[in-house]
Amino acid sequence: MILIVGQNGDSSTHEVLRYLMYWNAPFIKISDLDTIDNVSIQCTNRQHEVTISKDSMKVNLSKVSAYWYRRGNLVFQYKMNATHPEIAESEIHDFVKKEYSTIANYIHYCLEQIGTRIGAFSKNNINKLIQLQYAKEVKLLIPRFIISNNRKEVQRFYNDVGTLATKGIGNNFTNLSGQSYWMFTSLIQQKDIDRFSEKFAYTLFQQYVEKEYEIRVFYLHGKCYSMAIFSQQNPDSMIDYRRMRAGRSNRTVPYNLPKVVENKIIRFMKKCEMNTGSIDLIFTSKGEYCFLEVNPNGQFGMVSKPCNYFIERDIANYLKEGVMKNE
Amino acid sequence: MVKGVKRSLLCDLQNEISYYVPSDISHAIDVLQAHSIAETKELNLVSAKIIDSTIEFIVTNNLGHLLSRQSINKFPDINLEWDYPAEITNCIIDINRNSDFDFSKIFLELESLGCQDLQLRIEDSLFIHEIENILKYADGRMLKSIQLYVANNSSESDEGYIGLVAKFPRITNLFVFNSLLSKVLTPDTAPAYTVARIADRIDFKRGCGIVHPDWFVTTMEHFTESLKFNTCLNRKISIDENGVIRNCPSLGTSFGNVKSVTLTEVARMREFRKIWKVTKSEIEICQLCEFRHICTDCRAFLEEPQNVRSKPLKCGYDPYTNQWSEWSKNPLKLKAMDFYELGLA
Repeated sequence: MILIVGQNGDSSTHEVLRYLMYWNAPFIKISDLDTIDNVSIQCTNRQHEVTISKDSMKVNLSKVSAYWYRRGNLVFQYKMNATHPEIAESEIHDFVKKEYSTIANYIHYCLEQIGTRIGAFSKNNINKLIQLQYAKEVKLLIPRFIISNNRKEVQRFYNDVGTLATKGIGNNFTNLSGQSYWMFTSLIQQKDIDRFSEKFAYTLFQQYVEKEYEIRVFYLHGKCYSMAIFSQQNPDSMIDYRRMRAGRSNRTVPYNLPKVVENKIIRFMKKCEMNTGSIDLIFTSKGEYCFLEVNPNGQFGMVSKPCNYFIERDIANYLKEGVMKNE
Repeated sequence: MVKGVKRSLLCDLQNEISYYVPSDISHAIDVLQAHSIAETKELNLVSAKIIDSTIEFIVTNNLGHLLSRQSINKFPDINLEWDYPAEITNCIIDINRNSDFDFSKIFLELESLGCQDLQLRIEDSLFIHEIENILKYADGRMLKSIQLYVANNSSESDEGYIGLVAKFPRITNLFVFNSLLSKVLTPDTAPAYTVARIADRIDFKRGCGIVHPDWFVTTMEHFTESLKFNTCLNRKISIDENGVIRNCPSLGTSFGNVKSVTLTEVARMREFRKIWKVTKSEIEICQLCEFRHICTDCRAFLEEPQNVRSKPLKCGYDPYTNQWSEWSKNPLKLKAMDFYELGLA
């Protein structure tokens, strides 16, 4: 059986599921709207059995032979809310929650031992600074960067490399009083630095690399699906291609990445212990490939559709073949 | 780029726009596919003036970008494969007061065939509660959209029809035809559905099959499907008001009745699938037309009714002159119109 953990309403996931249905390959999908209402873990020295249930559906993890972690998390029901309302808001409840998260981590660990697997919850939040380190180790070019909290240091770096770009160190997205905010990549010039305070919160400053076009690579078990994004033609998206007005789209076309770059990406992903992800590269005006970041659960539909790659079908097929191999 | 007998059509499938391209420009594009601008000029196959205007056309319309010579092999041709994870992609069901087939069974079967989009056409003035009795069987099924046409029932109000759609979130459009006035009942900023009244009486079976630029589809799915299949009929199925299963409601051939055969059996019949493979490259005249891969086609009403490879009757376009004319006023089409009993209104 195939198990999929994903987010409700994700259209790319839905399309993968439709291929599985089309091929009559049985699967169970657990989304963030599903609540795991029962967990059973039974360990002896000889064997262990882990079962999770939602509604009346029981999943014995030993029966899962292919697993796809798309995104999101497993949601467990905290029965205490119902049975002990008096402590629902108390510190003891926090303690119980922590206990639950240990169980959840263990269940994710068990899922990640499954033979045929795409994605992993534990790699969901891979540190961007470590990513850049790994990229350097496999000899992928990266933009020079500093993390700094003072103007003088930024000024020195600016004098050295010229125009800078800044973006989130870990996350590009936050919720403030119920509103979602995206943090796009922005340029920093001398006039911006002049307005900086002496000291500020730690911020990432990257050398701004002039690009001819951007490249988005969807990686799946050693295979690279690459797409070029011509964002330079569009003033809205010159710095960050996600920043676009409705009705104007950047040209996105299939791309052949040179074998030597693909091999570096494969080595990079092995280092990250990731078997899938979306990698952002830029092809610089100097004709070099420069690594920006990997997103463990990026939208592969935005690569698959314009390039007509049928990535959804390949993912479904990988899972289906995993079942045939393991059962 | 699709070459017609007189000019070509360049289809930008990402932005869903097409451009007419005269033949000298389309020839220049062909040469430029494999050579740099400098090389193309040296080859002397195309005049420098044409090359320059071709480049200008491509760059100003954001159809291409100027890159160095080495870049050519980095940009492969796009894969033109078509695939779809379902045996049936959509279905039309005609319904009248006497339709007594098992909707529950039909919707369940459509779901197992992977069908996501459904059109229901109710030709009698059913009451809303009668329509609800049909739609309730679609609830909880994995359908994505239901398009609903119903004949106006004068005792039902605008609010009643809007309420019907609000009750069944899978309905994307409701058209109440035979109404007193044509008007849209849902505001522009409305939820994800439209409810509209249409004053005309719609003749579903004989009114279909019109080929017109308004209906052209410049998408990757449609374009690639048209290379191997008939886009009007491939993986589609229909049921008429008496339960008769057909490729399309306007086509004569019956493949049995839902009361005695299953949709799955029919959908898998070799005979049923035969017409799916009639591509535009096999259809006379259409095969020379630059619109052939964005056209909707029609196999129900043909210019020569006895010839399965004849072009659609209700197409007024002539690829030899690049002119559109009103198809129903064309004297050459009168005989076929009589055949299909399509009297002039």
